[in-house]
Amino acid sequence: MESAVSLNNITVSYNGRAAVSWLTAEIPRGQVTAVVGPNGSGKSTLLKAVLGLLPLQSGTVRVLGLPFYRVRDRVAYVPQKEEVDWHFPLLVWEVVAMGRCLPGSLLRPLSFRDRFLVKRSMQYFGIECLARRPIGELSGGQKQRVFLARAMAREAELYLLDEPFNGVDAATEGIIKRWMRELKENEKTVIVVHHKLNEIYSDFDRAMLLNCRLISYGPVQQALSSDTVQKTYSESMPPVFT
Amino acid sequence: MPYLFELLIEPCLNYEFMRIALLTGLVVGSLCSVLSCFLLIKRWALLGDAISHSVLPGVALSYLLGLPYFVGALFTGLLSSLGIGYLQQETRLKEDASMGIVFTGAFALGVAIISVVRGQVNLFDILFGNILTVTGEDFRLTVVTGVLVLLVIVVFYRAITFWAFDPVGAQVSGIPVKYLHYLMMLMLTATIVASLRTVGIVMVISMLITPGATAYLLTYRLPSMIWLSLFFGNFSAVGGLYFSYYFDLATGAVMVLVATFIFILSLVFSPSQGLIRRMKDNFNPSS
Repeated sequence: MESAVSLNNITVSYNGRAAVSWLTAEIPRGQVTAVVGPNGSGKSTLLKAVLGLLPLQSGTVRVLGLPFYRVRDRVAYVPQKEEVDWHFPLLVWEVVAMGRCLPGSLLRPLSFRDRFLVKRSMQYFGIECLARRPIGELSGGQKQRVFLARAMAREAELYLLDEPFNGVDAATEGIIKRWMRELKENEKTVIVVHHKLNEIYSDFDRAMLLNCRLISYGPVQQALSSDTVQKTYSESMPPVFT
Repeated sequence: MPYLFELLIEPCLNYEFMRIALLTGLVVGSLCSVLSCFLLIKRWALLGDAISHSVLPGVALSYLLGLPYFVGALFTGLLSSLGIGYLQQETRLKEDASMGIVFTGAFALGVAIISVVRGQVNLFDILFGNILTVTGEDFRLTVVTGVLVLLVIVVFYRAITFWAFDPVGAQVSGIPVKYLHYLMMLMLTATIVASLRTVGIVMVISMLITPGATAYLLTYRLPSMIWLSLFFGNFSAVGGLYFSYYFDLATGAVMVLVATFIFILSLVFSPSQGLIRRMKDNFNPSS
């Protein structure tokens, strides 16, 4: 079976400098992979390149064996919660329902099944009691749960999470980890961008260490050694061109 | 009460221009106020400002060439919205500077052309509108634009909301964000052109910002925000019309003043964000 994400020699520029250079990797299906690196190491850029949001300077990306635009309905993406304006006049369930915006069904109203999935996802993340609350009133952890429930409602095969543990409480962190385990049991693929190293051993199958280029990649035990970690985190940052 | 009723009905019974003005006011009020909600949440309020100024050279050129005014207006309006988009995406300039450059340039061009053809075009009418001179043809144009724009908003409601809230997430989900962007710009330009005769290109900015902003202070839900905005927009349009009829004031300006007055009321009295509520909270920090 083909990989969940296959990166072949990709180079991606962001604001005029190469944020990721000549990266080649196969991320297998049915596993939980962490993409780890310091700030500015190109983690988010890599994620955006996989999602077709940034153009590639070189190389190719295949998602579930196809170009990304052909598998949009099979991919769920959880952006960093800081990326949107939470004062937007929406209720919690309305944001979760956005997960049911699939390429073929943009113009029709929510179906019975859509509503069921939205409700079930909110229950899973413990936010069904907030369903009719304006999103502006939520705490950091609750905002993250809303985004996770939106991704869950999508019923995808590949889940891409951008820094899901940032600024959340312990309870939310526990739920995220439980969800990742369950997704793995159901043979879904999860890729998590993460900047902390300490939890990698227990919660992830594979790790990709990144600092503008691939430092190491493989099963967690092999990918993380004191040598690779030092390389990832202590190497001087490349100059920033403006 | 019967006196108030007479006050409102009489001008419409007696004067054809008043009937057309009232109907046009209702259409323009509805159109602008619905769109204003989406401009506000998308943070495009100033784009309305920029495009409305850029319409001026188009109107002037149309008079010069003997074309219907909306042809030129639509043309330069769209051209400048594309120009703003280009500057913003392809250079280091941000949105504010891009808009400032394009709309002042276009506006200056319009004023220059009008100074050449002085006498045939009334600059004051273009800038501030004159709903009392709206013709049957203008009215039909406004109605067609209004119906089309509102239809598009209803059909694409979910996609537009998603895109406005989370553009990146929407793009990943498969919403054609680029087309949606241009579609919104087209609708905005069309709305401005349709409102040109009624409120004028300076006052339309207010109609495209104030009703939505007023409603935004009062509710947390987009659907109720749209309904409230509709009410405020139409109330301002109709109220402004009658005020200007009885007190002989510039119609567009009075409409805007009514809208601004409602905004101030909601600023003071809004149950969640109003000044009164804030003062109470400050006096009693434990609540």
